[in-house]
Amino acid sequence: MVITLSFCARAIGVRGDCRGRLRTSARIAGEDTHLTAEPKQVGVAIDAIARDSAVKLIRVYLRDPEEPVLRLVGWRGGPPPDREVGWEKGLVGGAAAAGIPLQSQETGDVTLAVPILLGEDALGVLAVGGRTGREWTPDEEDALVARGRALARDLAPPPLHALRAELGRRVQPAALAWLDTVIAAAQRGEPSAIVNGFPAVGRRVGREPLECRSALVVREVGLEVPLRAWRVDDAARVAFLCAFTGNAEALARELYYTGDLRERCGALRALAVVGREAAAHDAILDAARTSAVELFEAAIADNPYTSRVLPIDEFRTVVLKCAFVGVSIDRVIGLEARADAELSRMLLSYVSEREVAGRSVPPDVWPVVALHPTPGLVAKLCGYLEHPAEAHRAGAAVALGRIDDPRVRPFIEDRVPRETDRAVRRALERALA
Amino acid sequence: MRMFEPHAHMFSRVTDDYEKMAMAGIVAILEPAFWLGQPRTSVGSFVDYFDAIIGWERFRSEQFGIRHYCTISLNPKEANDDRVNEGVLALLPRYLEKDGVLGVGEIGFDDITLKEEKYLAAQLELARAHELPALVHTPHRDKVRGVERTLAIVREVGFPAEHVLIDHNTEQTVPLVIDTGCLMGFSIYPDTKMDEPRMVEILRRYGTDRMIINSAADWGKSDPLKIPKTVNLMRQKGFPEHEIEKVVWQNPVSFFAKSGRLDLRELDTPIAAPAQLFEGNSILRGPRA
Repeated sequence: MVITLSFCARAIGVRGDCRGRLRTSARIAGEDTHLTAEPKQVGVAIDAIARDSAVKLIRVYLRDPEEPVLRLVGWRGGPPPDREVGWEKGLVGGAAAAGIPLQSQETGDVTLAVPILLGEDALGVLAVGGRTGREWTPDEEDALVARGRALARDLAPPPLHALRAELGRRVQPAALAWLDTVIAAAQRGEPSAIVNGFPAVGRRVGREPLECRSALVVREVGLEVPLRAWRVDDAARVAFLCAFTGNAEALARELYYTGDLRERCGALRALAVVGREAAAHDAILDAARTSAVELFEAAIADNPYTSRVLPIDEFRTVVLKCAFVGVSIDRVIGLEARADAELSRMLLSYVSEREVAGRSVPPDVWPVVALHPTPGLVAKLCGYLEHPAEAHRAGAAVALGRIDDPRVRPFIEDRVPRETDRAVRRALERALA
Repeated sequence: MRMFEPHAHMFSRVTDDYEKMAMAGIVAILEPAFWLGQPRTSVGSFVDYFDAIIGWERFRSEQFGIRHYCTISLNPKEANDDRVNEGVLALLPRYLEKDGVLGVGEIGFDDITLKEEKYLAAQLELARAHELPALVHTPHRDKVRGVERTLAIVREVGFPAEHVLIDHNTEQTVPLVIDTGCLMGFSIYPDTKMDEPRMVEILRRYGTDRMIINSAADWGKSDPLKIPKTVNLMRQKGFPEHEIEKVVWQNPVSFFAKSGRLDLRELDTPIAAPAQLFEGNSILRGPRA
């Protein structure tokens, strides 16, 4: 079985010379895993799913870059499936379009489809089925979503390729030619081209939001860097530093200290991608102290470098400041792994202060403080299950699911039939499970 | 009517000023680098000040929906101070390449000394090298002679007159400048410099070509609403709307657009609230109460 394959490369943003390496061939990887396209990571993922979850039927689809369809790239078990599925069509197309797992009660075919997510962008869909008798548990769903994310990371192009592709879509030809000149100089190891180019980026390529839901993957440190808040000038500045063959981390630090506000944001976002040591720790702290939210956000939110280099006391302080300045703490990468009892105390103290003053509180704190609950937290969260704002109800439901206290069950069961919001209902059901 | 404030030192103003300026129709401010009232004792103080007006002040301004630009320079008064003058001149090339830096200024004369003359000429050369227009301050004392010397140096250096804005003009200096091709700025002040009735009279007498008005609001007694107040008086005195718009928008915008860094499309686009910059509400929470 041989299918045209170049779309697969384009779907994941691989361009130019990289595409040449993708061969058109039918392959068998594992006992009866069928691959209709490279790359082989798809086969590895299918084999792993088969091994871990013992499902009979697995299908992998990837999005076509030009048409609103998903194309089959690999499958295992069951009859040969459809080669393509329309975006939004059926369970598979629906999961891709919505970006969330979808289940079907029908038997014999696909009964669970989860998006293959890079950042918030669905590259395709993992679909499984061939099992009868029961629904998929939240844990099974979560495991498949994680598998999809891992596959998306495996398929992701290097950051410079991904950024160049995004910029190619957003920037006028003349400005793109200028960008390529600077990138080429950076690849030759010339810092002066980057230093001179850095201030001019905004007026050359624009400063609009990049409007990209995807993420960069930094393989060396195994991290994803979400692009959702980046602007076009951020992407260009980071591309320069990704291309640089000298010490990009040290140069990013220098550009931070000599830059204006937008240059500084670009340097901070670059550290997320090129930072390997903790050489720019001082620049992160400098930005974390500012009251310019744009700068603070570039340093702290969606920036794994920051989460990695800040010692725990500084880390807690910036998480608290996120809540204070209105940056969602959801955007602090690795927060759950580093959250501790002291952070719970600090966040809940801030919540109390706002409540005393009759002010709104950030709903994204609930799932985090629940990791290290304080006395009385469960009662407070049960109260928030009845909050008029969906975000509070969802946050409280997720939090209660994490605390796993048998006393909360009647409150959740009481809420479920009255809950009208789909996401909140889902969180409540997960808390019960 | 939308207005471009081409000379205001917002560094020394409070948020009430921004709020009132935005409500009065000011959509963009240009902040020239200047003397801070208190002499600086080191070059580092200039670095911090320049960083503030290319970054922090821009951020502050945008919170009120006002675009913020600046000009960068060694000011005339501190050109006399050997603790800082050479070091600041050496800093300027880096700052003159920054985004939102639309010119070199304020430069010019204060006491009309030889050092002031040297740094005026040197900074006109920098403006030429970075392809930027120049914003030129004129002295408070011996103003007529200061304007004459300024114009002589512009000619000696061979700097294009249409890239020069001579600021703080009065009835006495307009005749000197009007035929040179330079633009003429007027700082409308509560007690000193120029006031609204005199300004309207100058515009009536000389026309609106190459005429620019500003508040020059700073740390002294000044009023950041002097442009809208002058607009009101122009209206009362029968100036047509397009003549008023020329003075408070087209003239300053086209002058600073000579920098090639004033994005006119951006200038026409209202600044989005931060929460609107990103999709949905996944990035920032809603307004805080």
